[in-house]
Amino acid sequence: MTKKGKLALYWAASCGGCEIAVLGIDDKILKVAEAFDIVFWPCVMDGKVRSIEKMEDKSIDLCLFNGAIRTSEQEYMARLLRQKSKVLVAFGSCAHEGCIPGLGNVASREEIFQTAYHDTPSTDNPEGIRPQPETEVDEGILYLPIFYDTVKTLDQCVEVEYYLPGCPPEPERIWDAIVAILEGKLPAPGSVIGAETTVCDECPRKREEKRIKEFKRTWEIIPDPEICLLEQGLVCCGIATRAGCGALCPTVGSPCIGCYGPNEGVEDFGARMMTALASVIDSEDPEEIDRIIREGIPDPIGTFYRFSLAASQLRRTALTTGGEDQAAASA
Amino acid sequence: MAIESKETKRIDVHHITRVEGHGNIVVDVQEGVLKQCDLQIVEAPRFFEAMLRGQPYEQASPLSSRICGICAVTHATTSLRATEKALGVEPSEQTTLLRKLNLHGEMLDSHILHIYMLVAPDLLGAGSVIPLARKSPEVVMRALRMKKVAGDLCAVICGRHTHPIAMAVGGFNHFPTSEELSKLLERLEAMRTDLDATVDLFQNLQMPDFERETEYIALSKEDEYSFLDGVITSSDGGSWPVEQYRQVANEHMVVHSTAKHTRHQRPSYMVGALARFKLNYEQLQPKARIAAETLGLDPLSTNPYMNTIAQLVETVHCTEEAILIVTQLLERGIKQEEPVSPVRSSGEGVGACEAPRGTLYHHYVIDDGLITDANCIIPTAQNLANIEADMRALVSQRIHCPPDEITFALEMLVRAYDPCISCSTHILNVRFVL
Repeated sequence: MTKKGKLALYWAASCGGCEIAVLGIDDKILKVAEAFDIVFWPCVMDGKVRSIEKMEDKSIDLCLFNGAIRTSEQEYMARLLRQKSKVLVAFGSCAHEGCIPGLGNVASREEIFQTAYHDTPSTDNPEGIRPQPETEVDEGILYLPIFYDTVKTLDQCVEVEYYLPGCPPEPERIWDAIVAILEGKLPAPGSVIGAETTVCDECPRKREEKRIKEFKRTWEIIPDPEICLLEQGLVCCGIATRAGCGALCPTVGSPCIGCYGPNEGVEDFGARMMTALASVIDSEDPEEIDRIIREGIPDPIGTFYRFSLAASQLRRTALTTGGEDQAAASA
Repeated sequence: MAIESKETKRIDVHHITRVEGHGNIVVDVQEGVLKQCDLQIVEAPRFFEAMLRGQPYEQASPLSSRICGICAVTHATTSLRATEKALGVEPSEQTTLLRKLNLHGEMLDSHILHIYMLVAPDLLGAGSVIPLARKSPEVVMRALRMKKVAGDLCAVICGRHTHPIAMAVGGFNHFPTSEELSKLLERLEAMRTDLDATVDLFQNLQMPDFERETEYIALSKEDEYSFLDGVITSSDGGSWPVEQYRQVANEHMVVHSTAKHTRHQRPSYMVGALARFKLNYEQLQPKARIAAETLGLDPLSTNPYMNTIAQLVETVHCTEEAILIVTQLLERGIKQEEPVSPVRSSGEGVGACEAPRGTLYHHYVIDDGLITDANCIIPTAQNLANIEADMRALVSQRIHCPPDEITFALEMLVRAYDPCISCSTHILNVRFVL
């Protein structure tokens, strides 16, 4: 590169694990700093929102955006960085498909506020105080970002060029993606940057025929170290999950929980998992099938949409209170 | 969010950088009198407490590790302890050793990240770690080298560096081999050279001069510098079993904020490395006490900027402890133990650990294997009121300094607490003066 490209990294509703994963590329981070002018990375570097607002549109070459969109402030940052960036990457599971924060979509804002600000045992709130988006006090008006009813993925707010999956993305895959970007060897816009196979293809465990009489909870068995976990009755999501992690979880005896998202060509992770599990249940009797599913999978949403609820075709449970994206709380 | 102001002096920093999460500082001085000085947290609340409801108990640990990617091991471990206490599970001695070792790994990783990547640039006159890498590459390479040992330690014990995968209720799904442990031991021992160099570096750096005495709270044990379990101890006197955490961490709502503030006897208290160092000084490894002396940190210190130095002392301590635990595990030999099974499927339990930033509590009610109630109290939420009290005292002392100087001192102060704002699921605290 004759002229250095400009790079921005940002985080919205996330845990910080994506930032740690970026630092996990070790001393290669210094190569990133050689290849790019890092214009914005609030976790690690100084640089304020105001300076981004002043930049010309499309003047940032690459923006790696992690975290889901839960509040009006995050949506503002997503729109701002979209406007200023040539290439916007939904980085990590939260930006890609909502991840664990997206499980908040099983509840409404009202239910969440009730739990967090009232019901939790250490909260002392006899007057039922709730946060307000605007509050008048003697000195002026206090503002808070508006808290949405529904967690959104990045591409539900703005157009996204690429996706980098994983909770968090493995540092090796991050480096692969950076190399691909620097060398201009990118797939078509709208693609996931990553493997096209599944975790099963990376898993060292032996696979034979899958016929399951009951699903086991993880504490009910000590799995055989050599054999496919699904064949042993554990709900392992490797079959529906994109490769890229090196099958870390099944390798250490834990079932895959699907953090890399659906594999290529799969629209809805949960639907794919349900189809896969339905085909391995060893019964023809509807009542027995019902029992196997009910007893073995007590939390279907958490099992099938642990990382992808916000991006799924369902997106959330039905809202019984409040309206979508109305001014927060109060009511 | 900047506001036009006719006042004498107004500082508005959006966002504070080099902290984990999103926070703003607002200071308003009118005619030489401090009117307002606030730390605003605009981080997205994610409300894990609501999300954990209805989940099977074995999912609580992998879900709650996603509260924070920086202290994922502590969240996962604290979650397991809460579940185990609820369901009557007593983990084996080997499990406890592996968990302690894992916590040491995360403590090292987090502290090294904070000390070198986030704080050192201030003290070495570099804007951030990237210019620092150009100015003093050996310093940044040393940090990355040590960070890698810590990260690899976590990966060996719990299967992956960020968001552990090999830990389970009652034990582990996977065990390190003796080859992996021996290799780790070599690397931990070799790390002492880099630690000595780090102590040398910080010995010659000057922390801002500022004292404000407050209440300090940490977990304590008689026979060790406590990170896993212990009793809650206060510098004002008194100790409580972790089940009585509500005696200490009183969360309350204030009208202008979505932040739950936490107080004990005084309006605020401090948790984290400095609090642990002050309360548990006697239990520190001898090498760590020597490092403290070299660095000019004593247990009577009330300078919050010294929290970073206390982190460095803990880095020495955790390295020495990790070496001892790995040696012990190698002598005992690793057993392929099955996780201990629950004796009941319903119950209530509280787990507590020291996260890098302070005491972390998880409290679960479990009914027939499903979580019906969850409560998590996060270190940064406990520190928030204390950070604001420090900020006000600091600005009052330096009220005649130029705004740039005050801003820098305030950002450094907030950074010294190493606030993990992404962790503190619901601290939003915004106050504007117009």
